[in-house]
Amino acid sequence: MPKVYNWQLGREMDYPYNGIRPKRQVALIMDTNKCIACQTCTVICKTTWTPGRGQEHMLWNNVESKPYGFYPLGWDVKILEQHGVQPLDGDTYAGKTIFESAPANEIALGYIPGDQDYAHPNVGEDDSFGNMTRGAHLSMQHNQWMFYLPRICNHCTYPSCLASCSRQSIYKRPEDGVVLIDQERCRGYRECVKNCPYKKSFFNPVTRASEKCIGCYPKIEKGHQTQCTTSCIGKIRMTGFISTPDKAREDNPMDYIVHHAKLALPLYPQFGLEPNVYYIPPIHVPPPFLHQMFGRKTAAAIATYRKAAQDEKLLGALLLFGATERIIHRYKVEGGQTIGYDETDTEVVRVPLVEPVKIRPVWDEAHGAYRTNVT
Amino acid sequence: MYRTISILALLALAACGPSDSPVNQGKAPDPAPNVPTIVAGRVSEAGPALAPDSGIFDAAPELTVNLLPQTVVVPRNPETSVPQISVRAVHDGKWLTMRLEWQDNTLNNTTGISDFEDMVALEFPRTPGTTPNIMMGDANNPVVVLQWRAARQAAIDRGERPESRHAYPHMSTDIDIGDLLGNDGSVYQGAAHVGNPVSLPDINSSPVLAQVAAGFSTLTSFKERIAEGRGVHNGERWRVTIHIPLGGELELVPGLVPGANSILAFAVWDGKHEERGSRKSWSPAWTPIRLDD
Ligand code: SF4
Ligand code: SF4
Repeated sequence: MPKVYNWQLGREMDYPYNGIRPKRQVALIMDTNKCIACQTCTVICKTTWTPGRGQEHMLWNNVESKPYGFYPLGWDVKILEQHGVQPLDGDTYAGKTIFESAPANEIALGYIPGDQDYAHPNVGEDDSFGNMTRGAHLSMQHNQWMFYLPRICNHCTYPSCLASCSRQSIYKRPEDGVVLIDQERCRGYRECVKNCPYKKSFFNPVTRASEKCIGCYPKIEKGHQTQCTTSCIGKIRMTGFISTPDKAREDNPMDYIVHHAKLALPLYPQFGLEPNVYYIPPIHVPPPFLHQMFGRKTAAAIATYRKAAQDEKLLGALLLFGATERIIHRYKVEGGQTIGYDETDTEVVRVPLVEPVKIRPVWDEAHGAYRTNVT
Repeated sequence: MYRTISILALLALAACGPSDSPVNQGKAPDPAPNVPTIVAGRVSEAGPALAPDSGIFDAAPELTVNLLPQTVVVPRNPETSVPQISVRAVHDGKWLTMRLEWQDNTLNNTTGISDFEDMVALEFPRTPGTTPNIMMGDANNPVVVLQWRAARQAAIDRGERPESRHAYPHMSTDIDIGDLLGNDGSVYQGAAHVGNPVSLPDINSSPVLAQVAAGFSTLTSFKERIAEGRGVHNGERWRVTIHIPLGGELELVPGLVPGANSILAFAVWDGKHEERGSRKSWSPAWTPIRLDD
């Protein structure tokens, strides 16, 4: 089997195809600390791409409440259980990927979810149960904590869906790294559904073919960020192009956050797909849980986040989230503002590092009324 | 990657167009006398009207073909779900009908999110006289693959394109894009919208997909060449007929005419065991077939 280099693991790994990186790789950064689970992203994705018959169960974008939320049910605990305990410390990943631990007869570890697993997204995820005694809000197996995890297809550098398709109906676009299923060639074998560890490839029982997030490629081609990014109420997302660490540019906000500040981390990098959605981890969650989910650099990322306001460049990059529909290729911080430029190096957005604050007196002279804060 | 393979498939197709494959050129040699051969006797009617349970097949000699799990390419099938298939064949000069029978006590003819359908396929060399790689042919020696599908037949019998409610009768949904957008809603039917034959864009088509392949991962459906077929499940076993037009405008397998010899191979998929694609039971050797004059 060919060897490919996975920078997230710091080593080469087995992959069924030779590793040819796209000319550029589309990526998303999501700040989990800011997500409010309003599901606007889920709804806009649904209405844009999957309102059709046979797509009823499909959420190319979903937001689940961790630790008890899953879509489809148990998606990550099931594959983690198959994968077994893996050593996660050290600069070079010493464990096995899902390709390297594939059972005989298979391309990778995997399973096909049951139809019921898709049936009740979000139901009961963060509901309380049992009787509340006076003074207690909630009783759980462990101290109370939770966070929201928004998820889309990771447009992986080494997609398991692509590797598993015995018809070679899945391809990674050389121009932007978006991973697509050829709807003319797919025969609904569901090998991609089985072997995507993130369960972001879905079977459509009406067309009898599989479908997945298309990375809003018509928008990407026009220089626009994805629908889930531009609709995000919490402004938690940024879509852009990410470089490999050796080619990282400090003036690319994606590169700055991921490679220079090392603030955003891939989800379950130990699976070995080099996923291209990067998460700023939640700051209030027990470290062992995050360690398993985002890798060993989580604690450092949280420490960086806590003092992000002291790093003007980092703050500048973070303030560009949700500030424009355009993809930002370059940015700079100047005169107390962060300025974003598009592919043609035209300025598309300018955001102050510190929002102006106006303090108004409680008594409004003009209207003869008290001002009250109703929010 | 996919484009390269498509081009290969097209080249292979172009290389074996009708003008390059006169019927008598390179006829398969007569099989050795001791090699079990399927003999298709001539009957008065062997077209699509011939039902799988028809008594006509009782008089046709039966050949039992042993099947093995597909263990050459990954993903492999570690165990054989269907160890044997019984084959009978008749022809009437216009149609060759293969009647295939195998034990399967579970009917799988739906395609829900996590269920798979029963299927059976025949494979013939596309160019008379050649012995292609039995695993989907090769670039110089393409094969014709005729695959009957149980869920496809069920949808055609219903006369309605597949709907989620066929698999999930009690489902409810907030938006029906068809009601909202009419025909414009078809863009949300990705594979069907682009005419993928597995999506049954035409409900009047056949339960048998007629396809050509020139190596692994190259299986491509013919747009117009039609084979017919019908399956009947009696609770214990399938009986499936596949009707192949002989010669004429609809010719699918060049050289397959009365008096000719050819070879063919078989594959069966058991939906209950989630078989699809390369997860199948197959005959790893070509079986000779002779069409009586
Ligand atoms: S997340 Fe899954 S569906 Fe998306 S590219 Fe990676 S393997 Fe494929
Ligand atoms: S729109 Fe933004 S804030 Fe709302 S759920 Fe989605 S990611 Fe979270």
